[in-house]
Amino acid sequence: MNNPFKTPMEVKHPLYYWIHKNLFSTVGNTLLTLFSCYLLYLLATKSLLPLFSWDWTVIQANLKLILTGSYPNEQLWRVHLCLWYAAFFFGMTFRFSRKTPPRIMYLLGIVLIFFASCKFETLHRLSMLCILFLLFGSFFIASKLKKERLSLIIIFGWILLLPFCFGVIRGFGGPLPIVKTNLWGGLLLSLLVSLTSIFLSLPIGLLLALGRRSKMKIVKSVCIFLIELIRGVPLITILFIGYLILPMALPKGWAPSVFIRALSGVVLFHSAYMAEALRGGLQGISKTQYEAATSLNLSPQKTMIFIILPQVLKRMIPVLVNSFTSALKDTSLISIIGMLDLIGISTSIVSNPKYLTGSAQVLFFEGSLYFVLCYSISKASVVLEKKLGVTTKIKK
Amino acid sequence: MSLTRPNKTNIPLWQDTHKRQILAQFIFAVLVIVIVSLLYGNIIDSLSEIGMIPSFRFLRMDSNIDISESIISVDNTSSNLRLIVSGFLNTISISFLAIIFSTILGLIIALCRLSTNYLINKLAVIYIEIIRNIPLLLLLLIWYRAFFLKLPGIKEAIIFGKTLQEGGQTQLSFSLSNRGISMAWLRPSDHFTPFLVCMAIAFVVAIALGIFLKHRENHTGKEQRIILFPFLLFIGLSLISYALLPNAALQKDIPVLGKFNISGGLHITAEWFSLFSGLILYTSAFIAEIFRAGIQGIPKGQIEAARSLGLSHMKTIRLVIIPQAKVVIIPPLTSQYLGVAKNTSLGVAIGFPDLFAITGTIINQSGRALEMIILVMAIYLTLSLLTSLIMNLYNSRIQIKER
Repeated sequence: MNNPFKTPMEVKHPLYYWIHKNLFSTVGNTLLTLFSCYLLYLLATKSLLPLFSWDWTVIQANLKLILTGSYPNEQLWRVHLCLWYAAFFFGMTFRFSRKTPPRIMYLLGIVLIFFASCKFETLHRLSMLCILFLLFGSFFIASKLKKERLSLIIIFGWILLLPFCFGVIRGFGGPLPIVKTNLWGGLLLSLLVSLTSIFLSLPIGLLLALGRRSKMKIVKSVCIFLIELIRGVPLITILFIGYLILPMALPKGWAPSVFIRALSGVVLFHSAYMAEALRGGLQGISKTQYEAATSLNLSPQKTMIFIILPQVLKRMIPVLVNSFTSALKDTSLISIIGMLDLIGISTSIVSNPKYLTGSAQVLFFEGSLYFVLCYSISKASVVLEKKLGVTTKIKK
Repeated sequence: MSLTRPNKTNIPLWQDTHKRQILAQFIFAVLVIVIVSLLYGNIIDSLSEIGMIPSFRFLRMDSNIDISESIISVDNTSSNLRLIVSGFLNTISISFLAIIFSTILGLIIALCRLSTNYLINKLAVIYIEIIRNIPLLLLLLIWYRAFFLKLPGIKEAIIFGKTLQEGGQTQLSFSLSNRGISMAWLRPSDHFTPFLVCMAIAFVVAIALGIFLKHRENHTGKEQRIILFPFLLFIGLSLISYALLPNAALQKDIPVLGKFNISGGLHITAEWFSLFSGLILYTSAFIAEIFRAGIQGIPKGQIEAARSLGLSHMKTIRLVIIPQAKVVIIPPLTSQYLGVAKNTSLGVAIGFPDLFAITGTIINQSGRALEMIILVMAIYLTLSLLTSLIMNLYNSRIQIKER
């Protein structure tokens, strides 16, 4: 390699050159390096090392509670079934966007191995390993399939994810006895609520966004009013409306459960934000698309359904995936109205006199759970964004 | 459109777009009215069943609620309305402070993130990624439960700068306990008003100098220090007036260690500090990303062009980078600020008496859920609609126009 733009120094001692350029190029840079070394030292001695000396029995004893709440033990296989399903399509989706497994898959693998080594029953630990196998297995199964067929399978798989999970986890009698929603809790509840809120807020948000862009004055003003009303107030007030006002507003005898009340608040809130995101997507479509469709004698409705929406939704996939992370984070607020989600369960664990001192450990553990989930999902959205961005560029 | 409009009578009703739209709107309006009136009727029915008629008269009644901190004086005999006002002031004050500090911290982190230094860059990345991927509520709970509640009680508080006075009192300059932070502070004394007047005069003089300098710069074309000189003038005049005034305008307020509590000084409660620091940490990570995107969005050619025109480094930033980055930065920044004001409502989880926490308490006490939620939504909505209106106006002004 004889690069004319490289100095002799750079060619001879690349490592030394790199260190000099990135850490000690000027006096200020050197000071910054020393300062950040000091910060790293503080971080290591004051916060990382003490973690090992903490007493982690509170996590070991309550791991099942944190992950699934008081979901009956003999029915836990249903949760595993849903995880298998999700892992299968996760792996396929990653194959769709890349040839080699991305880093996030290895991160997820490490987390799964960590859980498999925890104090669970043997069957559950085996199931964790199965999930790992499915995750990577489906990645390689997917490479055998044709691209068009693969994308069809993936889209249907993800659309069916929510009904599948709800059906399996709630059950409908027979071989799957009904598990009441007040038994759901922990990570399971957080994930289900945020997943549902994304799935339901997409169509509602789409209607609101179309209404807001409509030329009909009344429809437009009603939609603007709803969107701005919801976006203008904190999520917790919307949750309180669902919690306190909704049971009054519905006819007598309907009496929705706390789960439904919390869910309706979260869905309402996210629909408004989804509507704004979709409006942004609709604005991004060039006018020429509408004009071309009109000149092909397509009616406005047909233009919307066949020309505009497919483009918008395709562009919105990364945004949708990313909004799942914000939904997951926002869902933590349902603990304030008394749901036992990931945060709510920590309060109830710590209120047990046996584990009074464990609040820091529980919160730290939950924080790392949130981090792993949200981080891997947001990275997945970046991967998807890159992939989808490339295709649109080629088509142009 | 050069098409001649066809005769109206020839178009059937269902194919005339205009009429169809009117019909659709009419049906839509009727549907909305029917649904809203049904819901409202149900609410009124269920309320009247438990003997309640929606009215805002309870706002004037005594609250019977004690709240831990307030800017205006409030006790359990003051009216509900006064309590709401106090909660509103708490929300406004904490969000104002949090916005200022998180912007500063966010700017620092954005600069670290853009630095060429490898270590500091990676530290900033780690900070941003961790904070952005955990919920704010968890952050608040970690501050409150895992930090403040683990601290020793007031008797074994961590104390700095302890001095024993003659009267057997123990004075201290800083203390940290599970009730919060107490520290020495300067408070305006009884003779504060003359000083305030002097400061106002100094401010006016400084502004006048600034206008004069700007005028001279426009007139002569020579560069003037428009910001620096007036600022120095303001600080200098204020200090001189403070020294010259016969009575000290500020007095030292030093906390005193009592048997069961620490009195005097500036007391920051654990709840306030948890909410404040949680908000700052959380928001600064998002603000840092906004700043970074804004600065990185400027094409490199712009900076190179500015440098080749002979602009200095600072001038490149002031005249080339900031005006262009501003367009990208301000809309998302405004929505972050709005988010701070809304996120203060999470104080309810750690017992900080902000607007929403007080609303919750009043609902529990009086059972007036409908009225209180309407009221609190109206307050939050007015706050954010004002900002949103300005933002939309600004946004439509800077939006790239197509054809």
